Amino acid sequence: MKLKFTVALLAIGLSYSVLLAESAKVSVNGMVCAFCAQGIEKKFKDEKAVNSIDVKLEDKLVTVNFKDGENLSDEKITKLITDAGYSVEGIKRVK
Amino acid sequence: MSRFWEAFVCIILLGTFSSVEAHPTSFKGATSVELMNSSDHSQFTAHYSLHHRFSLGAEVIRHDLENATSYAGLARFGLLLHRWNHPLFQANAYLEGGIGSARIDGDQSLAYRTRIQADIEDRRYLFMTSVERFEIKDYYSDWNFKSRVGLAPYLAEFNEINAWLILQHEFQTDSKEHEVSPLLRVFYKNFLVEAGSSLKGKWMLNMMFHF
Repeated sequence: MKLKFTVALLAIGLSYSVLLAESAKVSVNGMVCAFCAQGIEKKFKDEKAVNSIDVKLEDKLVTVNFKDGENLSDEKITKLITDAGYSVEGIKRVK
Repeated sequence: MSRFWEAFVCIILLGTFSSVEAHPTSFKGATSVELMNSSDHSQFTAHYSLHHRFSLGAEVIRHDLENATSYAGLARFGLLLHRWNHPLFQANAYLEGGIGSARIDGDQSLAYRTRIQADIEDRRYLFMTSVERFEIKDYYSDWNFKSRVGLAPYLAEFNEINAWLILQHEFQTDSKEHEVSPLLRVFYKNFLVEAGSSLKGKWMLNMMFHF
């Protein structure tokens, strides 16, 4: 009984942390060259809160996947994109 | 790529060839290594971008003159004058310069270069033009005018192998020769290589790596 209870608690905890994991979809202007855009990936990968990053040149979109319970502010995301040499058109949060 | 492999590739590049017609500044915190080699000119440039608008570094230039070969070592800077980030394209204007010393015929002399570059590209087409002044005081001076048009034969995504077909026109006041060169540029992630030959048979091999 104790074991079942522990497993159930763990399952709830895991589900909750998955629910907490957030992504940010960032529309980026000027992102036309894969070679130059490597800086975007590098800048976000240096951030502890970031789990993974996906860059789509065709959609001009950078998807930043955060670690459970972690996040970056819109200002921070905009700064990272600007430091990489690009400008942000919009940021959309996805749970 | 781990730091070890990045360093390893850098060493290999340094030991083989030597800059690419790439951007004189990169993302903030980036180290760029560029190698450019042709039959009468070699150039190795390493620079660090303190800001995406400004980089500092050094370069070594070998240049074959009519009766001698010059070797110049310069401290250099790159400055992004303006960038237009548009949803469909990016355009840039750069200023680049360097000053140092050159050795020619056993003598030392002041050497400097200044370059202005403008470029625009989208995912399919690119256009670049530049004017450069290179001078070794009392020995050599030259204006170099260069233009490029490029076409991507296919649209590659971020982590795929990208390719460009480039046609370059170059005119140097020193030689008074027009050179037209078809080039193939290929890059994957942070490593870029381009190679080709002028219609007169002058070969070129350029590489760039940034991390």
